Amino acid sequence: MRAITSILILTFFSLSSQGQLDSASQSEKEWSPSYKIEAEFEANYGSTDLNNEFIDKLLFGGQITPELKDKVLKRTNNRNRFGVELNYEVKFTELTDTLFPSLPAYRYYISFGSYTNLSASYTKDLYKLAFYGNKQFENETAQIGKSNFTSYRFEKITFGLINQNESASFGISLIVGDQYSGFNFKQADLFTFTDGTDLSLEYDGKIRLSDPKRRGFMAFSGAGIGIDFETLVYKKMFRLKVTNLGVAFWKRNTSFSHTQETKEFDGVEISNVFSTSQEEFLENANTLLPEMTDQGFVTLLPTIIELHKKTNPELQSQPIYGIRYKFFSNYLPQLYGGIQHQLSSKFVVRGDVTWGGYSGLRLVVGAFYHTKSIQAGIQSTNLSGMFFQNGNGNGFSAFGTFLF
Amino acid sequence: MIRNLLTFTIALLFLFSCKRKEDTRWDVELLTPVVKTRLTIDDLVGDSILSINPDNSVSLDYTFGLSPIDEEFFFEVPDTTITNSYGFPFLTPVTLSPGFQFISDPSENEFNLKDAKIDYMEIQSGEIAYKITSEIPERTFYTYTIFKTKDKRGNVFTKTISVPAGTRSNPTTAIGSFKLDGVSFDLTGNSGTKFNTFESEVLVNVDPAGSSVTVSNLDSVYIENKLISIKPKYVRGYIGKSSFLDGPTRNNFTIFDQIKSGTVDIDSLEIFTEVRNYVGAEAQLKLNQLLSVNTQTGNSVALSHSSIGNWVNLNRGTDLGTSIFPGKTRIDYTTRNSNIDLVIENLSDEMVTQVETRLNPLGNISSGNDFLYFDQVVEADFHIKLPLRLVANNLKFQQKIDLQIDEETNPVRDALVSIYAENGFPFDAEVQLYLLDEWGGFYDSLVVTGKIQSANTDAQNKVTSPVNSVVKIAIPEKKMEFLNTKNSEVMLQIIFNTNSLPHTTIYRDYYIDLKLVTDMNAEINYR
Repeated sequence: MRAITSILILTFFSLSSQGQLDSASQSEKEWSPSYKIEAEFEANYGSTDLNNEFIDKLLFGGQITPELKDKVLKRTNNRNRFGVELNYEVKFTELTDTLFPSLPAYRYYISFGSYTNLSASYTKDLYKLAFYGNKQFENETAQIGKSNFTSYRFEKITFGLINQNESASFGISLIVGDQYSGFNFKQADLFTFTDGTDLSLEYDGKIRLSDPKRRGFMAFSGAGIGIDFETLVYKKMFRLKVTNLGVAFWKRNTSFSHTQETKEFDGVEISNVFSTSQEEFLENANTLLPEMTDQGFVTLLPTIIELHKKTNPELQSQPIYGIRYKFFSNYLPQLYGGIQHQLSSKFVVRGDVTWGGYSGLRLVVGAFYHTKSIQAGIQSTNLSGMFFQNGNGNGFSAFGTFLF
Repeated sequence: MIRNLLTFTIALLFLFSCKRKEDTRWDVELLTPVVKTRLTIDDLVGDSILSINPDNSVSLDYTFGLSPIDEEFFFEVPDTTITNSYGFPFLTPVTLSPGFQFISDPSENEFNLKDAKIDYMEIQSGEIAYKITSEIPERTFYTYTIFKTKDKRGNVFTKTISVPAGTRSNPTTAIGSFKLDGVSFDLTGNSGTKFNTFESEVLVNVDPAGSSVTVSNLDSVYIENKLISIKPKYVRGYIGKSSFLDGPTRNNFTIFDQIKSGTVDIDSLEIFTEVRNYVGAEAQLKLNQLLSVNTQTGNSVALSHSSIGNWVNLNRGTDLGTSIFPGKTRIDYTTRNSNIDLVIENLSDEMVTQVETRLNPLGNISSGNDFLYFDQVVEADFHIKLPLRLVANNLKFQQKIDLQIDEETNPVRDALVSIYAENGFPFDAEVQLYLLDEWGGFYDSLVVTGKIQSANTDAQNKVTSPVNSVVKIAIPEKKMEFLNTKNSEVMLQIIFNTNSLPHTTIYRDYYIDLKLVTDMNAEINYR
């Protein structure tokens, strides 16, 4: 995966530099491209309560100190979110011909993309339980239900059609599932008895795990189908884009449980304290966990819906706003609003204020370059997070388009 | 900003390569039950020595065998050498044709079995070694036969050896051996009236496929046979007089080996020595010494009883064909005829014994009808049947427990361990825990507060209801680190006390429920 990503990044930058050379040497009026290659890359992580220092240590190692935990706790609400996204896609479009004579205005494209997402939504009690322990809940109930943890990674291979003027497109994808882990706790009330003599857990939850041995790139641990489409709506003022609408089927070596029970735990039972073994302890301890079966399961893809105000290339400055939402990913609706300004015929900058997704309020800035053969852009999707250690995440996206 | 850019770059690298710079770790405070268990007398005492009485009370039924009596003292077959030298009685050379048998020599040989008179013997293991030296200038065949023997297939033992041609100046020598395992000997000789005697024969032939040879009185053949390392399996006849002294021998006495100190007043006990004589001959046994040694306290108590230093007659065993019915003798020790209570209450971990045995002290009184199976000779066991009806005073048990933890598996920094006990036994238990160094010696102790209280009892000290109590054990960070890095074994010491008189009886349905709860500071750690 690292190698492929490196290739994609190199491709993107080489395309950009090549595009500048091409655009300088050719007459813009005479030239009409036949093909288009696009590369997109997006990575971000964020949280509504965890700050960057905390996330850094959580993801990449280090001591999470009591002071750091306390700092985060002050920002923790009854419902909190955390997520990491890493998506990239390359796309080839035939611009001069169509495969379908009955659709002369449509061109075809093929693309390959990879989507990785790790996300969680959790209660304040779950944060306290995970990072402080249950001692503070002595004689109290920790409400850790209504918490979800989802981790998935899949690749997709898409064939699609796109309108000649790029006002609409439709693609159908084969989904190659690499890995899926889903923990959905509808209810999980943990009561710690005085002095810790007993624990009581009222639990209603679902656990779905894909094959733990097949998690790599193009692992085919699961498979599915998805569609993408894009169109202009509401007097062609807005661009509606739907990505990854579909399902994945996970059958290979899966683990599944859907349990509703009340568990009273007063210690792992062992036969003789004088002659027990770690094996006996672990074996008996495992019986306390929810019973897992090898039942397969179906997951809906983390569909992304975006609605952006369409920009007018004739205007030097104009407002920009829109909304983005990602289903089944512990995502908050992401709203943004800002301004786009044309610095020159080839350079555009934009800035906006964004709220939602996996983070709170943040600044987004981007710079874009375009010629007839090149379109490229780079954007910080969490500028405040980039500057401040207390920021709730970080984000970066880039794209490049090469016409030839 | 630089740090955040760096973080973001690292984030990207992580997502691409899933590599981490170090472990993520943080501390949590956990308050949770860990393990629970119910201990009954079956868990505290090994099944092999526990016996249940009709009223459900419990006894310890312990047996330890005195060191086995070496069967070789009764009967030993020495190595026996038989040498023959054969010359030719011809003053002038004569020619021997191929296949000609020029030696045929039956002879009787006797085992030197001291005063024993054996008429039948089965061999467990042993061999006959031969050395043949030939000056005959042609290959010769030597056939060695022991009459009145049977091998495992019921055939007479006979073997043929091929010896290459030799000369007077350069004789040939053939050396080898044959196994006698499983061969039985009738040792009554050719006449059938002798003892310890077997008849054998040597035949020597010129190779039938060879050439004629010329020999004279100057040519010889030497044959040396040796019966070596003969281990009998069974003998019959008169097996002779013998005597045997074993010891002093230190025998492990494990019934009390976990008890380190304290006193116990035992209400009653049944102790005896049983001697079983599987030899088909009269025997006598004398216990010269039985010394109870407590290596912890250094106290020793010698058994005082009329059997000590005096011969005890053992009747001969009876061969039933498929088994042997032993002659049994039982020596009972009571508080009236001995100081056995002091011997037991010494809580010894060793018994030092010295035993002397005689066989056929009166000579051949069975008219040669003794027998001896070498796998079963004379056995002597020391039996203790100890009803658990006692008064214990600071009875200190020690048990080593390996917690099986190390830095990798134990995330706990420090802990306060609470043991919640519901005690249905009629005794108090004071718990102490000690850390052990790498060599198993005491290193340090853990602070323990509280003790497990005795169950409520009636006037007869019988349990009426269990009693709850809590014992707390503090394991500070340094001691936890010691357990993780030096030695995870701890010595659990429990000091028991019962009520005073009347003696407290332990019943099988008594129990103690233990629940271990920890209030711990642990480090969550993952890579």
